Amino acid sequence: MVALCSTTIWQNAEAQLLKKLKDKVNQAADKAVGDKTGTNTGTNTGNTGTTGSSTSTSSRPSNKGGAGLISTPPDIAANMTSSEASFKDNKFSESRYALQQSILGVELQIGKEILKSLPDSVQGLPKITEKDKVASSGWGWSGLTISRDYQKDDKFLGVGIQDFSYLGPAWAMFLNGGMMNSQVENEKQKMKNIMVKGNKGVISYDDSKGYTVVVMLTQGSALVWEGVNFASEDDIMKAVNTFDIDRIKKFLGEK
Amino acid sequence: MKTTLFFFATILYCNIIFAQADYAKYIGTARTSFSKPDLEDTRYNLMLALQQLDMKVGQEILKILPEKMDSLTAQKKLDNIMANSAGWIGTTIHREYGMSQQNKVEVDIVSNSPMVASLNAWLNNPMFAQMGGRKAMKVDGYKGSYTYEVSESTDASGNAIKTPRSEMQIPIFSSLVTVKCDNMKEDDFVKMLNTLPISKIAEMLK
Repeated sequence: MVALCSTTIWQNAEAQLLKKLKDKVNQAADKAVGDKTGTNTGTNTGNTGTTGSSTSTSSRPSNKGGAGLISTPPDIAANMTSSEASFKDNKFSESRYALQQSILGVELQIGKEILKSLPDSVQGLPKITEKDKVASSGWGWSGLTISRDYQKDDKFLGVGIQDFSYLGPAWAMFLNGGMMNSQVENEKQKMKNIMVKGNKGVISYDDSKGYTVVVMLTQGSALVWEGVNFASEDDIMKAVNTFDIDRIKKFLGEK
Repeated sequence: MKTTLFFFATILYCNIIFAQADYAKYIGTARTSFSKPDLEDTRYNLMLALQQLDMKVGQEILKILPEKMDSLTAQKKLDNIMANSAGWIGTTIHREYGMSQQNKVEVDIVSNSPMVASLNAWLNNPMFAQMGGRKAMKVDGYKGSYTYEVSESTDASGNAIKTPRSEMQIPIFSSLVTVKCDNMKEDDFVKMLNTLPISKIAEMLK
């Protein structure tokens, strides 16, 4: 804990120090360029360099666009073969890397299949395809995250599917506990337990965030919905119930 | 004694064979599942193969650890490898040297240790590297955090007993190598640490 605190303090101090250093370097660079181009007025005290011709030459240009990265999901079968070959040669580091690449490839493919199975629109809210996200660490059960957004005007629904196996026991306690699962503030219910298509879950409401529904699946995965500007609990639950949870479970290998 | 040693050597050998066989079995099943395609089953079997691979790496690391540290002999029957590919902590490898509690060295290697990030931050910051009752030093070229403390207790007669305890933590990639020892002077502890093949261990943990 002490180490963590020390690290945090140090990181803050370092960030401030770096910022000051960066400002000084920028000032010096501006001055040097200004001297060469004759644009210095002699009293350049600003630290951002936002005026004069020196700005256009010394400031870093902003990126105006590019083709991005080429999508190269790992070749699952090739990596399995590579892992096996390296294992036989006692090259365990290479074998492990290839195996993790295989897992990464499989998880990305599972993520894509799940996204394909989600509805195109939910209660009149169309999906925002460009925000579809599949992320995998390639490190096993805790690494897969899938999300999709639905939005029309100011009404928004986000759905996320995440493996939470390492949080599983904590969630089980939470859902079965009875201590924390019913929270009331100012006589308003803020959080409560619910059942969604036979799965235990929790719904919460916050004026600034809207509704959040979390459903834990059998072995650690969780489905999370965030609803902004939904009129009522009934409204958000109708949206949640349009999702085929059993099908998602099947993709994740959950019973 | 010879029979006991032979018994444990046989167990270790069998474990190695099983780890190899299981790795091949799980990769084979993953390949079959992938051809169906059953992605979830593919993933499950790949994870199991990864566990077996980690077991194998653990066994290989145990093989390259020295037979003795200082004058203490490796207690191979207490060797322990736990492969856990289920998330934030990976494989844990444990080896003990010496028989008695008063004179024992423990070596633990944890892959994907959550401690590594904060330890690296501490080691790479000259301001903090000499604070908090510990200091930075190198073993086989790898930076680590050395802690020396004296714990006090009393024996049955009520006499005070002071026990010096040394601990060295060396982060290697995302793994953490920890060596602990009681009743040893700093110089002797450092000398003993240098018999550990850290570079070879680092190669395995890459």
